[in-house]
Amino acid sequence: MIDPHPPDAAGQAEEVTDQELVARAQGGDLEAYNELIRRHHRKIYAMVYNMTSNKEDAEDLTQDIFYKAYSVLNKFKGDASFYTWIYRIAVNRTINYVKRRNKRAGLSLDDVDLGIERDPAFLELSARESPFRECTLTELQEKLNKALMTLSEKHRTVVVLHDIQGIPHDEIAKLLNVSSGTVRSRLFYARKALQVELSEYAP
Amino acid sequence: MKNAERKRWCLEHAGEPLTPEDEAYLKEHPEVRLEVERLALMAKLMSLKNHEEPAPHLETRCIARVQERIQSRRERGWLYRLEDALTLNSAPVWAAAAALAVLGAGLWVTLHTPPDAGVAAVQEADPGMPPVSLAAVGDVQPSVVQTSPAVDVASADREIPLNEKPILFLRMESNQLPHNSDQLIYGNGGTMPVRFDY
Repeated sequence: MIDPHPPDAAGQAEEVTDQELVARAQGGDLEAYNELIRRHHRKIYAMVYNMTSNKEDAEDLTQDIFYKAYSVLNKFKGDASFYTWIYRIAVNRTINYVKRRNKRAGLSLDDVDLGIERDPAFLELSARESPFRECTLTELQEKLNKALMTLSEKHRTVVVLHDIQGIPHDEIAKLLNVSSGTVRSRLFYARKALQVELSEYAP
Repeated sequence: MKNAERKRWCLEHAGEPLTPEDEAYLKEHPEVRLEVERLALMAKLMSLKNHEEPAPHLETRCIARVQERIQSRRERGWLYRLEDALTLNSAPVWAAAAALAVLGAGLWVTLHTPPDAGVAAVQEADPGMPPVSLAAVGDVQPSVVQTSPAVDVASADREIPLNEKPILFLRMESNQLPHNSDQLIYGNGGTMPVRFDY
Protein backbone atom coordinates (compact mmCIF):
# COMPACT_ATOMS: atom_id res chain seq x y z
CA MET A 1 0.00 0.00 0.00
CA ILE A 2 1.56 3.30 -1.03
CA ASP A 3 -0.22 5.47 1.45
CA PRO A 4 -3.62 4.19 2.55
CA HIS A 5 -4.44 7.37 4.39
CA PRO A 6 -3.04 10.31 2.50
CA PRO A 7 -3.47 13.66 4.25
CA ASP A 8 -6.61 14.66 2.34
CA ALA A 9 -8.45 11.50 3.23
CA ALA A 10 -7.73 11.82 6.95
CA GLY A 11 -10.76 12.80 8.94
CA GLN A 12 -13.14 11.90 6.14
CA ALA A 13 -12.35 8.20 6.12
CA GLU A 14 -15.01 7.46 8.71
CA GLU A 15 -17.72 9.27 6.75
CA VAL A 16 -17.53 7.69 3.32
CA THR A 17 -14.76 5.37 2.21
CA ASP A 18 -12.96 5.72 -1.11
CA GLN A 19 -14.44 2.37 -2.08
CA GLU A 20 -17.99 3.67 -1.63
CA LEU A 21 -17.18 6.84 -3.54
CA VAL A 22 -15.71 4.82 -6.38
CA ALA A 23 -18.84 2.63 -6.53
CA ARG A 24 -21.01 5.74 -6.72
CA ALA A 25 -18.79 7.35 -9.33
CA GLN A 26 -18.90 4.18 -11.41
CA GLY A 27 -22.67 4.54 -11.32
CA GLY A 28 -22.41 8.05 -12.77
CA ASP A 29 -22.33 10.15 -9.58
CA LEU A 30 -20.00 13.01 -10.51
CA GLU A 31 -20.09 14.53 -7.03
CA ALA A 32 -18.65 11.31 -5.64
CA TYR A 33 -15.79 11.58 -8.10
CA ASN A 34 -15.23 15.21 -7.13
CA GLU A 35 -14.80 14.06 -3.55
CA LEU A 36 -12.16 11.58 -4.67
CA ILE A 37 -10.35 14.40 -6.45
CA ARG A 38 -10.52 16.53 -3.30
CA ARG A 39 -9.00 13.74 -1.25
CA HIS A 40 -6.13 12.80 -3.50
CA HIS A 41 -5.23 15.66 -5.79
CA ARG A 42 -2.54 17.18 -3.59
CA LYS A 43 -0.40 14.08 -3.37
CA ILE A 44 -0.79 13.39 -7.08
CA TYR A 45 -0.01 17.00 -7.91
CA ALA A 46 3.08 16.94 -5.67
CA MET A 47 4.46 13.89 -7.44
CA VAL A 48 3.84 15.40 -10.88
CA TYR A 49 5.22 18.78 -9.83
CA ASN A 50 8.42 17.25 -8.47
CA MET A 51 8.89 15.25 -11.64
CA THR A 52 8.38 18.27 -13.90
CA SER A 53 9.47 21.22 -11.75
CA ASN A 54 6.86 23.22 -13.57
CA LYS A 55 3.62 24.15 -11.83
CA GLU A 56 1.60 24.81 -15.00
CA ASP A 57 2.56 21.44 -16.44
CA ALA A 58 1.85 19.79 -13.11
CA GLU A 59 -1.60 21.33 -12.90
CA ASP A 60 -2.53 20.33 -16.46
CA LEU A 61 -1.21 16.84 -15.96
CA THR A 62 -2.98 16.40 -12.62
CA GLN A 63 -6.38 17.20 -14.09
CA ASP A 64 -5.57 15.01 -17.09
CA ILE A 65 -4.73 12.11 -14.76
CA PHE A 66 -8.05 12.44 -12.92
CA TYR A 67 -9.92 12.64 -16.20
CA LYS A 68 -8.11 9.63 -17.59
CA ALA A 69 -8.82 7.71 -14.37
CA TYR A 70 -12.51 8.58 -14.69
CA SER A 71 -12.63 7.36 -18.28
CA VAL A 72 -11.34 3.94 -17.21
CA LEU A 73 -12.99 3.86 -13.79
CA ASN A 74 -15.13 0.89 -14.76
CA LYS A 75 -11.93 -1.15 -15.04
CA PHE A 76 -11.12 -0.48 -11.39
CA LYS A 77 -11.99 -3.72 -9.58
CA GLY A 78 -10.88 -2.76 -6.09
CA ASP A 79 -7.89 -5.14 -5.90
CA ALA A 80 -5.83 -2.26 -4.57
CA SER A 81 -7.02 0.99 -2.97
CA PHE A 82 -8.27 3.72 -5.27
CA TYR A 83 -5.31 5.83 -4.22
CA THR A 84 -2.78 3.14 -5.17
CA TRP A 85 -4.60 2.63 -8.46
CA ILE A 86 -4.69 6.28 -9.46
CA TYR A 87 -1.16 6.84 -8.21
CA ARG A 88 0.05 4.15 -10.58
CA ILE A 89 -1.79 5.85 -13.46
CA ALA A 90 -0.25 9.15 -12.40
CA VAL A 91 3.31 7.81 -12.26
CA ASN A 92 3.03 6.16 -15.69
CA ARG A 93 1.50 9.20 -17.34
CA THR A 94 4.01 11.53 -15.76
CA ILE A 95 6.96 9.41 -16.85
CA ASN A 96 5.58 9.34 -20.40
CA TYR A 97 5.08 13.08 -20.30
CA VAL A 98 8.59 13.74 -19.03
CA LYS A 99 10.06 11.53 -21.76
CA ARG A 100 8.22 13.45 -24.46
CA ARG A 101 8.65 16.92 -23.07
CA ASN A 102 11.13 19.36 -24.44
CA LYS A 103 14.15 19.30 -22.17
CA ARG A 104 14.45 23.04 -22.38
CA ALA A 105 11.17 23.54 -20.53
CA GLY A 106 11.91 26.05 -17.80
CA LEU A 107 11.34 25.88 -14.08
CA SER A 108 8.13 27.36 -12.77
CA LEU A 109 8.04 26.78 -9.06
CA ASP A 110 5.46 26.75 -6.32
CA ASP A 111 5.94 28.81 -3.18
CA VAL A 112 7.76 27.29 -0.26
CA ASP A 113 5.73 27.12 2.95
CA LEU A 114 7.13 28.54 6.17
CA GLY A 115 7.07 25.12 7.81
CA ILE A 116 10.38 24.37 6.12
CA GLU A 117 12.21 26.37 8.77
CA ARG A 118 11.01 23.97 11.45
CA ASP A 119 11.80 20.86 9.44
CA PRO A 120 14.42 18.74 11.32
CA ALA A 121 16.34 18.20 8.07
CA PHE A 122 16.43 21.96 7.48
CA LEU A 123 17.59 22.63 11.04
CA GLU A 124 20.31 19.99 10.76
CA LEU A 125 21.53 21.35 7.44
CA SER A 126 21.47 24.93 8.74
CA ALA A 127 23.66 23.94 11.67
CA ARG A 128 26.45 22.82 9.34
CA GLU A 129 29.28 24.95 8.15
CA SER A 130 28.15 25.26 4.55
CA PRO A 131 26.68 27.83 2.17
CA PHE A 132 23.32 26.35 3.12
CA ARG A 133 23.18 28.76 6.07
CA GLU A 134 23.52 31.81 3.90
CA CYS A 135 21.29 31.00 0.98
CA THR A 136 17.71 32.14 0.85
CA LEU A 137 14.81 29.71 0.63
CA THR A 138 14.17 30.75 -2.95
CA GLU A 139 17.78 30.09 -3.91
CA LEU A 140 17.69 26.72 -2.18
CA GLN A 141 14.46 25.80 -3.91
CA GLU A 142 15.83 26.73 -7.31
CA LYS A 143 19.02 24.79 -6.76
CA LEU A 144 17.19 21.68 -5.61
CA ASN A 145 14.84 21.79 -8.58
CA LYS A 146 17.62 22.43 -11.07
CA ALA A 147 19.63 19.57 -9.61
CA LEU A 148 16.64 17.27 -9.80
CA MET A 149 16.06 18.17 -13.43
CA THR A 150 19.60 17.17 -14.35
CA LEU A 151 18.79 13.57 -13.45
CA SER A 152 17.60 11.05 -15.98
CA GLU A 153 13.89 10.29 -15.89
CA LYS A 154 14.54 6.94 -14.17
CA HIS A 155 16.74 8.44 -11.47
CA ARG A 156 14.46 11.40 -10.93
CA THR A 157 11.48 9.10 -10.50
CA VAL A 158 13.04 7.16 -7.63
CA VAL A 159 14.25 10.31 -5.91
CA VAL A 160 10.80 11.88 -6.16
CA LEU A 161 8.99 8.77 -4.99
CA HIS A 162 11.39 7.85 -2.20
CA ASP A 163 13.24 10.89 -0.93
CA ILE A 164 10.48 13.42 -1.51
CA GLN A 165 7.25 11.46 -1.27
CA GLY A 166 8.52 8.89 1.23
CA ILE A 167 7.26 5.79 -0.58
CA PRO A 168 9.08 2.59 0.55
CA HIS A 169 11.43 0.83 -1.85
CA ASP A 170 9.24 -2.24 -2.33
CA GLU A 171 6.21 -0.09 -3.21
CA ILE A 172 8.24 1.87 -5.73
CA ALA A 173 9.42 -1.43 -7.16
CA LYS A 174 5.80 -2.52 -7.71
CA LEU A 175 4.87 0.83 -9.24
CA LEU A 176 7.75 0.74 -11.68
CA ASN A 177 7.70 -3.02 -12.32
CA VAL A 178 11.31 -3.45 -11.27
CA SER A 179 13.01 -5.17 -8.33
CA SER A 180 13.66 -3.50 -4.99
CA GLY A 181 17.37 -3.92 -5.69
CA THR A 182 16.99 -1.92 -8.88
CA VAL A 183 15.19 0.83 -6.99
CA ARG A 184 18.01 0.98 -4.42
CA SER A 185 20.64 0.95 -7.12
CA ARG A 186 18.96 3.77 -9.07
CA LEU A 187 18.58 5.75 -5.86
CA PHE A 188 22.27 5.33 -5.09
CA TYR A 189 23.35 6.57 -8.53
CA ALA A 190 20.80 9.38 -8.43
CA ARG A 191 22.11 10.61 -5.09
CA LYS A 192 25.67 10.40 -6.37
CA ALA A 193 24.69 12.58 -9.31
CA LEU A 194 22.90 15.01 -7.02
CA GLN A 195 26.04 15.23 -4.90
CA VAL A 196 27.87 16.66 -7.90
CA GLU A 197 25.13 19.20 -8.55
CA LEU A 198 24.77 20.16 -4.91
CA SER A 199 28.38 19.79 -3.84
CA GLU A 200 28.39 23.17 -2.13
CA TYR A 201 25.91 21.85 0.45
CA ALA A 202 27.74 18.59 1.09
CA PRO A 203 31.47 19.32 0.93
CA MET B 1 29.44 -10.56 3.06
CA LYS B 2 32.65 -9.43 1.39
CA ASN B 3 33.94 -5.93 1.99
CA ALA B 4 32.98 -4.71 -1.49
CA GLU B 5 29.47 -6.06 -1.02
CA ARG B 6 29.24 -4.56 2.46
CA LYS B 7 30.33 -1.20 1.10
CA ARG B 8 27.73 -1.27 -1.65
CA TRP B 9 25.09 -2.40 0.84
CA CYS B 10 25.87 0.50 3.17
CA LEU B 11 25.84 3.02 0.31
CA GLU B 12 22.49 1.74 -0.95
CA HIS B 13 21.07 1.91 2.59
CA ALA B 14 22.32 5.44 3.30
CA GLY B 15 20.02 7.22 5.69
CA GLU B 16 18.48 3.97 6.92
CA PRO B 17 19.19 2.18 10.21
CA LEU B 18 22.29 0.00 9.82
CA THR B 19 23.01 -3.39 11.39
CA PRO B 20 25.78 -3.79 14.02
CA GLU B 21 27.88 -5.50 11.32
CA ASP B 22 27.47 -2.49 9.05
CA GLU B 23 28.38 -0.15 11.88
CA ALA B 24 31.49 -2.18 12.61
CA TYR B 25 32.46 -2.05 8.95
CA LEU B 26 31.94 1.71 8.78
CA LYS B 27 34.02 2.18 11.91
CA GLU B 28 36.88 0.45 10.15
CA HIS B 29 36.29 2.35 6.92
CA PRO B 30 35.72 6.04 7.75
CA GLU B 31 35.94 7.02 4.07
CA VAL B 32 32.90 4.85 3.34
CA ARG B 33 31.08 6.30 6.34
CA LEU B 34 31.68 9.78 4.95
CA GLU B 35 30.30 8.71 1.59
CA VAL B 36 27.24 7.18 3.24
CA GLU B 37 26.66 10.38 5.21
CA ARG B 38 26.89 12.50 2.07
CA LEU B 39 24.36 10.35 0.30
CA ALA B 40 22.03 10.54 3.30
CA LEU B 41 22.44 14.31 3.20
CA MET B 42 21.22 14.38 -0.40
CA ALA B 43 18.10 12.51 0.68
CA LYS B 44 17.51 15.05 3.44
CA LEU B 45 18.01 17.97 1.08
CA MET B 46 15.53 16.51 -1.36
CA SER B 47 12.99 15.89 1.38
CA LEU B 48 12.81 19.67 1.83
CA LYS B 49 11.00 19.87 -1.49
CA ASN B 50 7.95 18.65 0.38
CA HIS B 51 7.51 22.21 1.59
CA GLU B 52 6.61 23.54 -1.82
CA GLU B 53 2.95 24.43 -1.76
CA PRO B 54 0.58 24.33 -4.75
CA ALA B 55 -1.49 27.37 -5.58
CA PRO B 56 -4.65 27.63 -3.43
CA HIS B 57 -6.98 27.41 -6.42
CA LEU B 58 -5.60 24.02 -7.46
CA GLU B 59 -8.47 21.96 -6.05
CA THR B 60 -11.24 24.14 -7.48
CA ARG B 61 -9.64 24.39 -10.88
CA CYS B 62 -8.81 20.71 -11.07
CA ILE B 63 -12.39 19.69 -10.22
CA ALA B 64 -13.87 22.22 -12.64
CA ARG B 65 -11.69 21.11 -15.54
CA VAL B 66 -12.24 17.41 -14.96
CA GLN B 67 -16.01 18.01 -14.69
CA GLU B 68 -15.99 20.00 -17.90
CA ARG B 69 -14.24 17.22 -19.81
CA ILE B 70 -16.52 14.55 -18.38
CA GLN B 71 -19.61 16.55 -19.38
CA SER B 72 -18.28 17.04 -22.91
CA ARG B 73 -17.58 13.35 -23.12
CA ARG B 74 -21.16 12.53 -22.12
CA GLU B 75 -22.62 15.00 -24.60
CA ARG B 76 -20.50 13.92 -27.53
CA GLY B 77 -20.86 10.20 -26.94
CA TRP B 78 -18.88 7.79 -29.05
CA LEU B 79 -17.10 10.47 -31.07
CA TYR B 80 -15.59 11.91 -27.92
CA ARG B 81 -14.63 8.46 -26.71
CA LEU B 82 -12.84 7.82 -29.98
CA GLU B 83 -11.03 11.11 -29.67
CA ASP B 84 -10.14 10.18 -26.09
CA ALA B 85 -8.80 6.85 -27.15
CA LEU B 86 -6.59 8.47 -29.74
CA THR B 87 -5.33 11.24 -27.51
CA LEU B 88 -4.95 9.33 -24.26
CA ASN B 89 -2.15 7.17 -25.59
CA SER B 90 -4.09 3.96 -25.36
CA ALA B 91 -1.78 1.18 -26.55
CA PRO B 92 -4.57 -1.23 -27.61
CA VAL B 93 -6.13 1.44 -29.80
CA TRP B 94 -2.86 2.12 -31.56
CA ALA B 95 -2.28 -1.61 -31.94
CA ALA B 96 -5.71 -2.00 -33.55
CA ALA B 97 -5.05 0.95 -35.86
CA ALA B 98 -1.73 -0.58 -36.90
CA ALA B 99 -3.40 -3.94 -37.57
CA LEU B 100 -6.04 -2.22 -39.73
CA ALA B 101 -3.36 -0.44 -41.69
CA VAL B 102 -1.52 -3.72 -42.34
CA LEU B 103 -4.77 -5.39 -43.38
CA GLY B 104 -5.57 -2.51 -45.75
CA ALA B 105 -2.11 -2.62 -47.28
CA GLY B 106 -2.41 -6.38 -47.77
CA LEU B 107 -5.76 -5.96 -49.49
CA TRP B 108 -4.39 -3.26 -51.77
CA VAL B 109 -1.44 -5.41 -52.79
CA THR B 110 -3.74 -8.37 -53.49
CA LEU B 111 -6.03 -6.28 -55.69
CA HIS B 112 -3.13 -4.74 -57.60
CA THR B 113 -1.12 -7.90 -58.21
CA PRO B 114 -0.78 -8.59 -62.00
CA PRO B 115 -2.28 -11.89 -63.19
CA ASP B 116 1.06 -13.42 -64.17
CA ALA B 117 2.56 -12.89 -60.74
CA GLY B 118 2.12 -16.59 -60.11
CA VAL B 119 4.73 -17.30 -62.75
CA ALA B 120 7.18 -15.22 -60.83
CA ALA B 121 6.24 -17.23 -57.77
CA VAL B 122 7.07 -20.44 -59.63
CA GLN B 123 10.32 -18.91 -60.72
CA GLU B 124 11.16 -18.03 -57.14
CA ALA B 125 10.36 -21.58 -56.10
CA ASP B 126 13.05 -22.82 -58.47
CA PRO B 127 16.20 -20.87 -57.58
CA GLY B 128 18.21 -22.45 -60.40
CA MET B 129 15.96 -21.01 -63.06
CA PRO B 130 16.92 -17.71 -64.74
CA PRO B 131 14.36 -14.92 -65.13
CA VAL B 132 11.63 -15.78 -67.62
CA SER B 133 9.02 -13.86 -69.51
CA LEU B 134 5.74 -14.86 -71.02
CA ALA B 135 6.34 -12.55 -73.95
CA ALA B 136 8.29 -15.24 -75.84
CA VAL B 137 5.84 -18.06 -75.54
CA GLY B 138 5.57 -18.11 -79.32
CA ASP B 139 8.96 -19.85 -79.50
CA VAL B 140 7.73 -23.00 -77.89
CA GLN B 141 9.14 -26.16 -79.46
CA PRO B 142 6.76 -29.09 -79.28
CA SER B 143 9.51 -31.68 -78.86
CA VAL B 144 10.51 -30.14 -75.69
CA VAL B 145 6.93 -30.25 -74.57
CA GLN B 146 6.96 -33.97 -75.05
CA THR B 147 10.21 -34.60 -73.24
CA SER B 148 9.84 -32.10 -70.53
CA PRO B 149 9.26 -33.77 -67.21
CA ALA B 150 5.93 -33.24 -65.57
CA VAL B 151 7.16 -30.57 -63.28
CA ASP B 152 6.00 -27.04 -62.82
CA VAL B 153 8.31 -25.29 -65.21
CA ALA B 154 10.48 -26.38 -68.07
CA SER B 155 12.37 -24.53 -70.77
CA ALA B 156 12.11 -25.08 -74.50
CA ASP B 157 15.83 -24.97 -75.14
CA ARG B 158 18.25 -25.17 -72.29
CA GLU B 159 21.18 -24.12 -74.51
CA ILE B 160 19.80 -20.62 -74.88
CA PRO B 161 20.00 -18.58 -71.73
CA LEU B 162 16.43 -18.01 -70.65
CA ASN B 163 17.06 -14.44 -69.69
CA GLU B 164 17.87 -13.75 -73.33
CA LYS B 165 15.18 -15.78 -75.01
CA PRO B 166 12.93 -16.94 -72.36
CA ILE B 167 10.21 -19.45 -72.92
CA LEU B 168 8.04 -20.58 -70.17
CA PHE B 169 6.51 -24.00 -70.43
CA LEU B 170 3.85 -25.28 -68.17
CA ARG B 171 2.97 -28.90 -68.61
CA MET B 172 0.89 -30.90 -66.20
CA GLU B 173 -0.86 -34.11 -67.08
CA SER B 174 -3.60 -33.31 -64.69
CA ASN B 175 -4.36 -30.01 -66.35
CA GLN B 176 -7.95 -30.43 -67.42
CA LEU B 177 -8.70 -26.84 -68.13
CA PRO B 178 -8.99 -25.27 -71.57
CA HIS B 179 -6.11 -23.03 -72.58
CA ASN B 180 -8.05 -19.87 -72.09
CA SER B 181 -8.25 -20.50 -68.37
CA ASP B 182 -6.33 -18.24 -66.04
CA GLN B 183 -5.71 -21.07 -63.60
CA LEU B 184 -3.50 -24.07 -64.01
CA ILE B 185 -4.41 -27.18 -62.03
CA TYR B 186 -1.61 -29.58 -61.29
CA GLY B 187 -0.69 -32.46 -59.01
CA ASN B 188 -3.31 -33.21 -56.43
CA GLY B 189 -5.48 -30.22 -57.13
CA GLY B 190 -2.85 -27.48 -56.76
CA THR B 191 -3.47 -24.33 -58.80
CA MET B 192 -1.46 -21.38 -59.95
CA PRO B 193 -2.35 -18.30 -61.99
CA VAL B 194 -1.27 -18.61 -65.59
CA ARG B 195 -1.72 -16.84 -68.92
CA PHE B 196 -1.74 -18.65 -72.24
CA ASP B 197 -0.61 -16.59 -75.20
CA TYR B 198 -0.75 -18.08 -78.74
